[in-house]
Amino acid sequence: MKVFDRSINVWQAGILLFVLMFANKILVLPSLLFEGAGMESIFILIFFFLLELGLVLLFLALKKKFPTQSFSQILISHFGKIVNVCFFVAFMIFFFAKAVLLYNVTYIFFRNLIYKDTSNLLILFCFLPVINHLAISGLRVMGRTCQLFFPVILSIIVFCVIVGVFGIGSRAIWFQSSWMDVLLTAAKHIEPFGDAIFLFVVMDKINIKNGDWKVMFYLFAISAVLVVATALVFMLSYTYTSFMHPYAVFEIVSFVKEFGGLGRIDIIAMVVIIILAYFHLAIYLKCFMFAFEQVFPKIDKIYSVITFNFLFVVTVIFFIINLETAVTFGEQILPYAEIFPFFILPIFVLIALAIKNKNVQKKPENGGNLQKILKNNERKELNNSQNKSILQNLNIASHLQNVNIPSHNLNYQQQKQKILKKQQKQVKLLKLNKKQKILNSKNNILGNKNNISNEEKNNLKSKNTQKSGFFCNKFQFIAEKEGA
Amino acid sequence: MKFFSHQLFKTPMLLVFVVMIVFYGFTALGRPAEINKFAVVTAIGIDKAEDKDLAPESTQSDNLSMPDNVNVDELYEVSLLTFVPVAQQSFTEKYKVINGVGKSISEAIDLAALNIGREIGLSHLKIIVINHELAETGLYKILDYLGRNIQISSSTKVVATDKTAKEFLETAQKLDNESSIKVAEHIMFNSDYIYSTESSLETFFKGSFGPTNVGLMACLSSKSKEEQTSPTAASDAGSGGSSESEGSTEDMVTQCHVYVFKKEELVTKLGERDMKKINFVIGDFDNGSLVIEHFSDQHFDDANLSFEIFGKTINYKVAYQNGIPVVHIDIGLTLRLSEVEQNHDLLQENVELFVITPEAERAIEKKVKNSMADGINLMREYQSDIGDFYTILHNDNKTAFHNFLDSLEDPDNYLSHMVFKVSVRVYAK
Repeated sequence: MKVFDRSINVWQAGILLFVLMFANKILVLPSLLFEGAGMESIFILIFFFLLELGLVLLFLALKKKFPTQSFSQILISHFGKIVNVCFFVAFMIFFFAKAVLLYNVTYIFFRNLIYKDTSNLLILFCFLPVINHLAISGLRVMGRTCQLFFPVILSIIVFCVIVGVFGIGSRAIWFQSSWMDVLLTAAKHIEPFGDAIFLFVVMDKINIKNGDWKVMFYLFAISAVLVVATALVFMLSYTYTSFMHPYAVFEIVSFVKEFGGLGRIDIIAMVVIIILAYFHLAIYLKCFMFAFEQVFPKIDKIYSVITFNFLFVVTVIFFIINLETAVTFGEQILPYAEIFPFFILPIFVLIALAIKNKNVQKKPENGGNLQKILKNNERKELNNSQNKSILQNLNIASHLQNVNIPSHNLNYQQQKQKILKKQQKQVKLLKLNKKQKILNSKNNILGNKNNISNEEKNNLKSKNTQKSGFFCNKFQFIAEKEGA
Repeated sequence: MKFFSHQLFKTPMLLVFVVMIVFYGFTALGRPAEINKFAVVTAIGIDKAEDKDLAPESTQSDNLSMPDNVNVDELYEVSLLTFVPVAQQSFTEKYKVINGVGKSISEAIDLAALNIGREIGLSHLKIIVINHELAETGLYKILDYLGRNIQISSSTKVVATDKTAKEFLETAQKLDNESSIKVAEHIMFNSDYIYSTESSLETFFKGSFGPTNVGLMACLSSKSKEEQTSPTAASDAGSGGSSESEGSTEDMVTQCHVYVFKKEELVTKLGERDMKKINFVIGDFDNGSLVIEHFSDQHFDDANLSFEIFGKTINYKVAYQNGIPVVHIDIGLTLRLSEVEQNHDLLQENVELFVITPEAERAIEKKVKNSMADGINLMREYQSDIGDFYTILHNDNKTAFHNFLDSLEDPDNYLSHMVFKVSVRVYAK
């Protein structure tokens, strides 16, 4: 079975981030937070979202510096292969643990509220094939499916929050918990956060055009606001009994249903929980697959899916079988895993950002256009004097793809784009030359010399080199200066 | 067929879909329908089974159901108002009260299930009735089970009864059969009135787990007409004071008290009038009536005016004077003159166009202020912060309030050391 991984645009990446921000946060978390820190737990949520925002900012900075490189390539070029493997093992464990926690909470939710006789295997059977299919189909398919469901998810959660506001009636007590309570609760319940690191895993698959990064921030902000609003409405509705109600987004709708005149609108909340659970698990699996690929590069990708499935089923069925165990797992084991996204990863990323003039071109980019086009055999053919000047220009232009130009220097950016456009024209010209050369050789064999075509060729060459000459010289200077 | 199988293996999701259909189909065939599995319980009654006489015959004769080594003092008798769903064309529910006695509530429910041969489904539970003796002594033990049970909704009503819960449920069953009066609805709509309070698991737990640790629970009484010796306070209290069943039935359910619990102990039982006074302070009402006695002005002469309350607004403002909190309660009432009782028999004024005169406004204000003062004194007397002033003061100025509490010798009795000021605004509907 083949695994297709094509790049996604910033909208799709933003929507995946949006969806992932709800993972493990809108069901059990508000209740657990309230139990530990009362109403002040809202500030815990806000604080963690700010940390999460920090991760997104780090990602964008890294992406700006290394626009076409993968996180793995950056790690290898800056810290070596061992660090790279360690990092991706950590990614694997992190996303796997998250998936286990999320699945268990969702399963227990359905078992308690929908069908108490349902077995774990039965629910696994519903989830695993679909998430496997989504992950195998590739990141782009996942992104597009998410795009399709995005309005549904957004509108349902907004609806739940708005309906929940009508349930707010009792008085909540503020600032009763001590700072120590808040800190301890924060440390205990950090496990649902740090999901933004999935951006680093799929870094080279995301195409960000100039100015598009704002979309990612908007989507992140919307999801953060909705999570905080859900928790706030839940806590204000139930106040002192919040700890007795473990499923926040469901409970806020249910509260209004129970005390108001509405019918069973809590089903709407169930729908969004199902949709989100599918996407969360699929994204976690996809990230596991990417990480697996880096750790075991020689093994076929499909084995990452099989490994995930095997480990997942074993863990879910034999180790985490009820809400209490799931919560204990989330409170006592997973918080240690959060050291990775909030401490280790940012430090390494900051070091990579701080190091200047690292040879980013050492490993050629898989997305580089010129490297694909200019195959080695073509280069050999072009080593004649006639095309040397063009080749020189092309080399400079190809280098420009990886040369870091300060974003504030717009002239350089514009010039770079112009040169890149011209290089495409020149590639066409080279192909033309190649064809012409073959034609000439044929003509030579036949004894018919074609002088007109050579003239045309020379005219075209001189025309292009004249136009791009100034910029090429200038960028050649920059490239030489940077030691490329 | 070859094409189909080829397509099936070519499209893995289609294969998964087919497998799922087959898997779930067979699983469904192997399970009985839920409708045949559960007995739907709409009300639970919990009594203390002090001796074996209270245990049902079936339980007494069954050694497995009630072990001999169990201390009978700790036994609970659970009565379940149950109906067994049967697929019929007509929509009828035939209820029956079944019993079980056990050392704990869960055991008693399990044993009750043995008597009906079905699993007990509590998802549709509407009301929990607790015998008053049990409520006064061991309420929180019972509520622990009810709070933990994931099937029971937090909006389930919980009430005490002055008789046995079993008797109450039997009366409730008769009422439902004969006149379609449902006790759960009874308590739900009573809470809108000024004479009662909301009495659900959620509100009780909210009060009990809050900083004041005060929980309220309504007490209902099942009576036959002959038993009613004296007229209730309904004449004064109006329509909300008690609900009388209509029709030929001899049974009825009335509200007798509101139980006030503080820190897991019963503090007092409040009557309807007392509850009305407290509700004026805490603003927990939507409907009710207000009677001004011996009112005289240019229109009325020594008349008793009854006003119907159509709405209220209530605001609390806190200020500190010499470290003592002063709570300013600003209440606005929308009233309509509903009844005039005076020596002149004829209706002299058109009540539709009645405008509250300054004299009437002052009289209403005086009446409401007196009621509120009485309500505050009641709360002070029982040291029960029913209005949750603790939260209001804490949220307003945490430091000042806690300094005030620290300055008190008996911080629990903070209500007695606070100052209340009341302003009443009256609007005519």
